[in-house]
Amino acid sequence: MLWACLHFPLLPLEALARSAPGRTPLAVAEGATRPRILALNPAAHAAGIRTGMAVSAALALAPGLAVRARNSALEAHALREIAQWALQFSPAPSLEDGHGVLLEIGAGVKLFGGLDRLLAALHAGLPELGFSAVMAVAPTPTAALMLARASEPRIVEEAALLPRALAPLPVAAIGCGEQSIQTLADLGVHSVGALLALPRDGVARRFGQGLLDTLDRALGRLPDPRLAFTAPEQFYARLELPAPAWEVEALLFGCKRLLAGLSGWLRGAGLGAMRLRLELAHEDGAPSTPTLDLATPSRDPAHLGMLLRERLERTRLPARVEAIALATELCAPLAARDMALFPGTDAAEETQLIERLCARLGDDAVCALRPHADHRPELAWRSERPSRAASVPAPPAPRPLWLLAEPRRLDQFLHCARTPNQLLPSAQTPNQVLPPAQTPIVLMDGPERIEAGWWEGRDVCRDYFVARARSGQTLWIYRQRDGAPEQWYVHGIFA
Amino acid sequence: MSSALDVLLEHPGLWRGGECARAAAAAAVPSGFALLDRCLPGGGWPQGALTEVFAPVQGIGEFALFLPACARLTRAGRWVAFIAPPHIPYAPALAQAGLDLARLLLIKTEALTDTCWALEQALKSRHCGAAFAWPRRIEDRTLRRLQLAAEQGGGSGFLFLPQAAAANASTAALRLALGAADTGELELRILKRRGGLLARPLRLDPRRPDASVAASDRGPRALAHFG
Repeated sequence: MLWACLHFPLLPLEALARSAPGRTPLAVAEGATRPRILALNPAAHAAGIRTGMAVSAALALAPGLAVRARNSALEAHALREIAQWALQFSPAPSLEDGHGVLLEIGAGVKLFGGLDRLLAALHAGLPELGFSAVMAVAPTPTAALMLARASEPRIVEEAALLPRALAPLPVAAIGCGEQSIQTLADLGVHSVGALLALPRDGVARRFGQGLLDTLDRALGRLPDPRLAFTAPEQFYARLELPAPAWEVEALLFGCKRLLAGLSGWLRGAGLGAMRLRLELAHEDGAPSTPTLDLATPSRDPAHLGMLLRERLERTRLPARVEAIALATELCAPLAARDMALFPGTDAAEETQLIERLCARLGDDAVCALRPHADHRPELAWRSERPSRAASVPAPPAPRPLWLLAEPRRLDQFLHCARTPNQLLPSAQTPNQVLPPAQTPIVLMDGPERIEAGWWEGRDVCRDYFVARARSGQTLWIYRQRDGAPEQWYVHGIFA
Repeated sequence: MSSALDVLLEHPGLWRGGECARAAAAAAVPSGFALLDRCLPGGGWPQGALTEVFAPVQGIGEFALFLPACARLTRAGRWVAFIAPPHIPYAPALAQAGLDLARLLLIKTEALTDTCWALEQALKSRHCGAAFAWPRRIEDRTLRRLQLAAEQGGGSGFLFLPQAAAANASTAALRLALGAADTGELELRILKRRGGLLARPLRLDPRRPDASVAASDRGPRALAHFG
C-alpha cells in the first residue's frame, strides 16, 4: 500500500477564487466579532497582508483588498470535486477533515508507468482545477497526512523509514487538538520524535489512548482503514464567479476548471461524455441551461472546451452570470487508451467536425440524409443525426437531385427562372398527355404514376414526368390526377 | 516514328501550350468523365483547392457533374458536405448516383458568415473529401481563407456562384462556366485552370459518367510519370 495525501492549505481562498485569475488582492476572513484573515492570494501578500491579521488592519494596508467571508460548504464541495477528479488515479480516494484528500496510489503505479509519472500527473492536474496542494507519499495514510499537514512534500516508500521521516515533524502535524499540543509544548515536547521517545504508559495516562493509536497507525503498527469516497452516478461541479460576468472569456475560464474535473472523473470511470449541461446562475431569474450534444463520447478537455466556447458564443444570456455548474447528462464507455491501429484515423477525431458545426449552428443544422421507404416523393427521404447508418436501396425510376420543399406551379417556376416564354413543339408525347401549350417544355420520360398515402389522409395521386425546358433545365413535374387537369407542378430539379 | 514522338511528348518536363499542367497539380479526385479528366490538371477535380462553378440556371446537370467524385469520396470513407444548398438534396437520387449517404453531411445555415465558417471548418477537417456551398457572393478575403483551409485539410471546395461573379478575378484553382447545349448536353468552359487555357468548350452528358471510372473504387488517381 502506498498513500498520497493532498493537503490544501489555501482551500478557503481557492474555493472562492479559482474561477478567475487572481490579479487583484483578495483575502478570506473568518470570525464573527473580530474577523481575521485566514488565507490570501499573492497580490494581497505583496501588499503586506499576512494571515492572522485583523480585517480592519488589512484594509488599512490595502484599501483595494476584497475580503470574502469563509464558506465552509463551498470548501466541502471543492474537496468532493477534487476527490471526483482524483478517481483517475485511485479507485478509492477518501476525504479528510482539515482540507485533505487521501489516495491509495500503490495499485496505480504500474498503470501510470512509475511513481514519478503518477505524481507528475497529479502535480500537473491540480493547477488546472485551480487548487494548490502539498503532496506527501507514505505507506500509511496517517503518516502521509501528517507529512502533508506539516507542509513536508516528502515521498517515503518503505514503512521501516517512517520513524525517521516523522521524527522532525512538529507535534501539531498529528492533528491532536490545541489542548494536547499546548501541554506537550509545556513539557518541552515539540516534535513527533520527542513524543515517540516518551514512555507509552505515561503518554496514555496524560493524553489518552487516542494519541498513541494515531501514532501507531502512522507507523503501521495498527490497521488504518479509511472510508472510501463513493463516486456519484453523474458528474456535477459548480463554482462561483468572483464577480458577475457577461463575457464569454470570463465564463470559459471557469468552465476550464470544471472541465479539468470532468475529464478526471470520466477517465476514472472509463467513460466519455455524450451530453453535457451547463447551468449559468444569474443574479435574478432562472438559470440558463445550455446543453451540448456530442457525436462520440469524449473526455478531452481541450475539445470539450472548444465546443463549450462555440455554444456559449451562441447562447443569449438574459443577465450576468454569478455561478457556473457543469453536469453530465449522458455518458458512454470510452476505452482508457486509443486503440486505433493508425493514430489520427480514429472516429473521434472525424466527428469533431460535426460537433464543432453543431455547437455553433445548432444541433438541427447538421444532419445526414437517407432514403425512406415511401412512394410519396416528399416522404421518400429522412434527415437524421449523422451516423454510420446502413443505406436503403434506391428506387429504379429517375429522381431529381434537388427536391423543392413545396411543389411550385410550372408556369410560375419557369417565369422565375427567366426562360424565354416561347412555345416549344412537344416532340415526344407519351400517352398524349401534354402540358398546357403556353409553357415551353418537352416531356422526356414518364408518366410514373404515384398513388399512395390515402390511408393516412396525406394521399398523393400524381403522374410524374421528366421534362426539359427551353432553357435547358431538366425538371421533375407532375399533374394532379384528381385536380385541375391542366395544372402542372414542379417538384424537383435535375441539377 | 510517331511512337517515339509520343514518348517524347509524354515527358513530364515537356509542356505544350494548350495542354493542362500535369506535374504541377499534386492531388486530384477523378471527375468520373474521362473527357473532362484529360482537361483538368492532375486528371480530376483539384484537391486541397477551391473550384468555382458558374451556371446560368438550375437543372442543366450542373450538380450531377460532381456526383461521381462524391460517390468515390464517400465510398472511400470521407465526408462530403453540402452547406446551405438551394433546395433539399434528394436522398433517393443521391443513392442512385452511388453515394454512401452515411458519409454525407447536410449543413443548414442562414447567414452568409455562417455558411463561409462552416465551409472553412469542413475544408480544414482532414476527413472531409469535398464541401459544396452556394453563397450569393463571396469576398476576396474569404476566398483566400477558404483556399488556406483547403490546403490545410486537403479536401476540395466547390463554390456555386452567381454568373455575374465570373467576371471578377479569383484565387480559385479552377473556374468553370457551365451552360446548356442545344443537344441537351452540358457545355463546359474552363475559365481558369493551372496550366494553359482550353480553347474549346467541352460537351458531356453529366448524367452519364463513364461506367468504368464511376464504378471503380480506387482512391484518387496517382499521376503517371515517365522518364
